[in-house]
Amino acid sequence: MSWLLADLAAVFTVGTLASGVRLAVPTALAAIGEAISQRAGVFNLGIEGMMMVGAFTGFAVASGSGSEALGMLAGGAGGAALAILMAAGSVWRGTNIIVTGFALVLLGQGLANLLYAQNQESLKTFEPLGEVGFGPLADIPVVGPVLFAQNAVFYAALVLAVAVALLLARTRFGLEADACGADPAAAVAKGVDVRRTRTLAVLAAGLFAGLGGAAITVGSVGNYGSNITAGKGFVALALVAVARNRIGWVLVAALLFGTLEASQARLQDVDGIPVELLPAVPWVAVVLALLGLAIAHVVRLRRAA
Amino acid sequence: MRAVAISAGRRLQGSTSASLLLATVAALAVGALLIVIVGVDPVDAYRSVWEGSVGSLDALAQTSLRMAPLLIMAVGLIPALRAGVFTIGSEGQFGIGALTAGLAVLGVAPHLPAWLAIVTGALAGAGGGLVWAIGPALLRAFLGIDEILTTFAFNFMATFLLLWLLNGPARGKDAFLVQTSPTPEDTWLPTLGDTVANIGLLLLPALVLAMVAFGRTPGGYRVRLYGAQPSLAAAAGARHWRVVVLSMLVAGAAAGIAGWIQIAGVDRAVFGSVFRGYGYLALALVALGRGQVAPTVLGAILFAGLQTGSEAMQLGVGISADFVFVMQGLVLYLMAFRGGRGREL
Amino acid sequence: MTPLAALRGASKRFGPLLAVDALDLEVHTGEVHALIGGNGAGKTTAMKLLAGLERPDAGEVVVDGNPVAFGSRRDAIRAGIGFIQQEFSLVERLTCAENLLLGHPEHGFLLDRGAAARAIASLNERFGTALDPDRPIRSLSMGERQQLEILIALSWGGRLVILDEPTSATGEAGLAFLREAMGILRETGVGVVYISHKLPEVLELSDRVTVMRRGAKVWEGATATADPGELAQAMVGDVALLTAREGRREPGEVVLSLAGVELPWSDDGRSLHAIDLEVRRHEILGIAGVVGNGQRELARLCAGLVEATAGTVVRPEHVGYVAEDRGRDSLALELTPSDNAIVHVHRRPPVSRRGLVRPRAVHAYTLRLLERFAVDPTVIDRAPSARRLSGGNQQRLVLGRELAESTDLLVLHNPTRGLDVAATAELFRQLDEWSAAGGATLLVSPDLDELLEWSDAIQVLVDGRLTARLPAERDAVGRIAELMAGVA
Repeated sequence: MSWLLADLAAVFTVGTLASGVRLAVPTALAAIGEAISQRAGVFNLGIEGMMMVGAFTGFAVASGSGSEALGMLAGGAGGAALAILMAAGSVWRGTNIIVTGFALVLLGQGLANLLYAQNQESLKTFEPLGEVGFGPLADIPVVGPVLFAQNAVFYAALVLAVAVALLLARTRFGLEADACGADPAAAVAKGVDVRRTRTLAVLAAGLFAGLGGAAITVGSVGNYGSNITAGKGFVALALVAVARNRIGWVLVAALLFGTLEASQARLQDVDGIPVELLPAVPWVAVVLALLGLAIAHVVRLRRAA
Repeated sequence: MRAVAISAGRRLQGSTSASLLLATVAALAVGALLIVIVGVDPVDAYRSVWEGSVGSLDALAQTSLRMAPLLIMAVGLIPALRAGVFTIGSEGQFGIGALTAGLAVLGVAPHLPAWLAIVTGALAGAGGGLVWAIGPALLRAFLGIDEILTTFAFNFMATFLLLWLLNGPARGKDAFLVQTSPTPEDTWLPTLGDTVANIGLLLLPALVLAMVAFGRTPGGYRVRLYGAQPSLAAAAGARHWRVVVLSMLVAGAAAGIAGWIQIAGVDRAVFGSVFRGYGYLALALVALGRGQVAPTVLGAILFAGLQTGSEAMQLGVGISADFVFVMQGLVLYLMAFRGGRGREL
Repeated sequence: MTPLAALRGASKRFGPLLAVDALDLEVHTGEVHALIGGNGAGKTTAMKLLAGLERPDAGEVVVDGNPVAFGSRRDAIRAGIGFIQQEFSLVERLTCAENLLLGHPEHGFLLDRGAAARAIASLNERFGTALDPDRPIRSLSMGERQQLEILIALSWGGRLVILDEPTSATGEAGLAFLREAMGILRETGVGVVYISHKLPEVLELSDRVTVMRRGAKVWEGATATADPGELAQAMVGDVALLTAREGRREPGEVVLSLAGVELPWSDDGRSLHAIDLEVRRHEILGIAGVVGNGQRELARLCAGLVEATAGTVVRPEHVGYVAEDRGRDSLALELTPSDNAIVHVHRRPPVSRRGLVRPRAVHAYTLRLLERFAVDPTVIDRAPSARRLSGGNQQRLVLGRELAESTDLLVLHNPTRGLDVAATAELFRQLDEWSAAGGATLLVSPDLDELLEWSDAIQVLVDGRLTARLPAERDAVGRIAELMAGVA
C-alpha cells in the first residue's frame, strides 16, 4: 500500500497546484457571481448557459477585434444579457425558478454553439493570454509558479473576488441582498426594494458567469468548442452550496476542485486507479460534500425538535 | 351557440396544450429571425425541418424513435412531480435500466426463445431503473434528505459505474469501443414495415393510457391531493412515505423501461454514450405540461420533431443542429410564464 | 398646539370593505395616545396610513401641521414615523446592528457598523436595556426584539412611534419594559400611538384614548377621566340580537368534552392551559376572544388535528372542521372544486367503483353537497380550480363537505371571514338546521355580534385560558366585553 501512497503524493506537486489554480479561475468567477445571486435568494440554475454565451461572445469579439480585454468584457456582457431573461421571468413574474434556469441552460448552450458553428470559418483562433511577467518572483519555490506565473485573468479575478467580498460585507447593497435572501418579508417591511436588489444580483451572476466562460476561451485556450465549459457552471453551483455563499470559502472550494482536476493527468500513471473513473474524482468530492451538508442539516433539525 | 363558443374559448384559454402550441410558434418565429441573421432563408430552413421531422414515413419513424424514451420517462415522472417530489434521477435510472436490460438479454439469449429474451430484457430494464431509485426514495421518505440532491448524486454514480463496467467486466469481446457485445439479432425489437421504427412504439399508448388510468384511481387522487395540500391528503388517508416512495419507484421503473427500449430498439448494445440528457429533458417536458398527460405527450412529440427536424436542417441548409436547443430553451422559457410559482408546477 | 401627526377625515377602502371611515385622530409630542377596539375595528389600517404603508382614499395625513402624501414606507421613515408591527420586521439571521442599518433613512453606500453599535450602546444606557449589537436576532427573546425595534425607531430619527399590540407577543415581561419606555419617550418629546385591545395596560400607560369600531371613531377622551366599563362597551358596541335562532332545542348528550387540557403552541411558553369545556347535541358553544389568544390551537385540538399534552379529551371519531384560513388548511386551491369535495369519500361508492374514481359520480356528489345552499351548484362545480371561487363559494364547498359526513360535531373557526351578508346569513341558517337535527357545534370567532346571535353559551379565551360559561344574552355583553379586554 505504501507505494500507492507514495505515488499519490508525487501527483500533488507544485506543478499540479499551479495548473489547478489556472483551471479554477473560470469556475471561481462563475461561483462568485452565483454567490451574489444566492445571497439575494435567487438560485440561478441558468449559470451554465450564461457561461457558454460568455465563452462564445468573448471568443468572437477577441478574435474579431484582436483585443483580449475587449473579449473579456464582451463575455461578461453576453452572460449578463442572458441574465436579463432570468430576471424578467423569475424575479419579475415569479416563474418557477428551476424551469426558467434550465431553459436558459438550453438556450444559452444552443445559441453559443449555433452561432459558433455558423461562423466557424470567419473566427480565427488565437494565442491565449500568456503569463504576466513577474520576472524573478516566479522563481520562488512553491509560491512562485502558483501565484506569480498566471495569466492576467487570474489577477483580475483575485481583485474582483476581493471587491465582491467587500461589497457583500461592507456595503448597503450587500446588507440588502442578505436581507432579501434571508427574509424577504422583513426586507419589504424595512423599505428594501426586493425586486431591484434581486435583479441586480442576477445580472451580476450573469456578468461573472460570462467572464468565467470568456476566461476559458480568451484566457486559456484561444479557441471555442461545443463543450468548452464542460459543466463548470454546475460545478460553480455546487461550490456555492458547499461554501454557503461565502466568497472566501468559494475560492477555496474552487481551488480544491481545480487541483483535483489538474491531478487527473498525473493520476493516470498510478496503477490501481481505473482511468475511466478519473474525471469523476472532483465530482465525487463535490457530491460527497453536498451529501454531508444535507445530512448535517437533517441531523441538526432533528436535534432541535 | 354563443355560450358554447365562449365556454370553448375559455377552456382553450385555460388549456396548457394550447399555450404549448402558442409558445412553440413564438419560438419558431424567434428562430426564423435567428436564421435570417446567420444568412439563410428561413422558408428553406423550415421546409427542411418539416421534411426531416414529419415529412415522410421514414422521418416519422425517426421522430418516433426519439420520442419514445422521452415520452415514457416523462409520463413516469408525472405522479412524483405532481406530488411535489422533485426527483431528477431519470437520467441515471435510464442508463442503469439500459445496462441491466442489455446484460440480461446477453445473458439469457442463448438459453431462452427470442420473445422470452425480449420480455426478460424489458423486466430487467424496469427493475434496474426501479432499484436505482430506491436509495433516494428511502432517504427522502424516512430521513427527509432532499431528493434533488440524492438523485443528482445517483446520476453521477450511474455514469461512472457504467463507464467502469463497460471498460472492465462488461466489455464486449471484440469491441474497440466502450460497449458491451452487440445483442443477438433475434432479440432486436421487430421493426414496423420498412422503417426503422420498432414495435416498442406500441408500448407508448399503452403506458400513456395506464398513467391516465392511474390518475383516475383513488391512489392517483391521493397523490394529486398530497401535492396540492398535504394536510388535507393526510385526512384522506395518504401516508407521506407511501406517496414519496411509490412515486419515485414508478419514475425509476419508467426510466428503466425507456432505457430498455433504447437498447432493444435502437442501439442494440450498451454504449458508454447512453447518457444523452434525455432524463433531464423529460423533466422539462413534465414542467412544460404542468403535470398533465396530454400536454406532456404533445411536448414530447414537438421536442422529438424539433430534434429530427434540426438534424435534417443541418444537412439541408447547413444550420447547426444546435438550433434544437435554442428552440427547446425558448419554448420552456415561455411556458414557465404560464405555470405556478415557487416549487409548484 | 399643533399636533405632531394627525389623520383628518381619513378613509380607506378594500373592495367592498370600508376599513377606515372618515377618521380624525391627533397625536401630540410627548403624548401616549391609545387606539383601542376589537378585531377588524380598523386600528392597524388607520396607522398604516400614518406610516406610509397604505394611502388614504379620502381625507389626509398631516405631519407638523402640513399635509403629506407618503409614496412609500421610506418616505414616512424619513418624516420620523416609526411603526412597530405585531410581526416584527427584523431579519433573524442578521445582527442587531445590521438590522439597525438595514433601511436606515440616512445611509451611505458603505455600512458604518461602528456607528450602529454606538447608537445601540447609547440607547441601551437611556432605556436600561442590554442589547448586544453583534448578536443575531434569532438569539433574542420576543421582549428583546421589541426593545430593539423601539431603539431602531428612535435611532432612525423617529418622532412618532406606533406600537401595534405590543404585549401580544411579549406578555408581562414586555409590559414592564414598556412602562419604563413610555416614560422615557414622553420625556424626550416623542409621540406614541399605542394600539391595543387590552384595557388594563391602556388605562395604565396612556394619556388619551380613542375607541374605534367598524372603521370609525366612537369615543375619545383623556384616560384619566375614562370609565373602563364604558370603554369596553364602546369597543363592542350596541349588540342587537337579531332573529332568534329557530332551531334552539334542549341540549342532549355531551359530544365534545375537554377537561384540564394543556397544549403549548409557541416557543415562548404560550399555551392552552386548564381548558374545560363541553358541547352537547343541539347546542352551539361560542368561543369569544381577540385573535392571538390560542383560538387556532383550540379549534385544531377539538377537530382532532393535534393532541393535547395533558388533560382528557373526549370527541367523536369524525369531526367536521372549517379552518380559519381556508386556503391553508381546508382546501387544495389548485385542484378542482369537486376534487376538494370528495376528500372524505373518495374511496367509497358511489364516488369510486371497482378501483376507479367515476367522474360523473364525483360531480353528482359535489352537486348534492351544495344543494343545501342557495346558489346554483353548477357554478361552483364548473370552476377550473378552487382558487377561482369567491370566498363565499369556497366556504360553501368546505361546509358542505364537512357537514355531509355522518358527523356529530362541527368545529368552525371564523367561518364568516370573507363572506358577504347574504352568505353569512345562509351559513347560519345551515347551522341552525344542523343543530335542530342533533349536531353539536363549537363556534370560534372574534366577532362578538355573531357569537351572541348564534351561540347558546359563550366562553372567553384570553391568553390561553378559558373563562366559565356565560349565557349568550344581551345582559351579558358588558361582562363578556370586559373579559375580552382583560378587565376582569
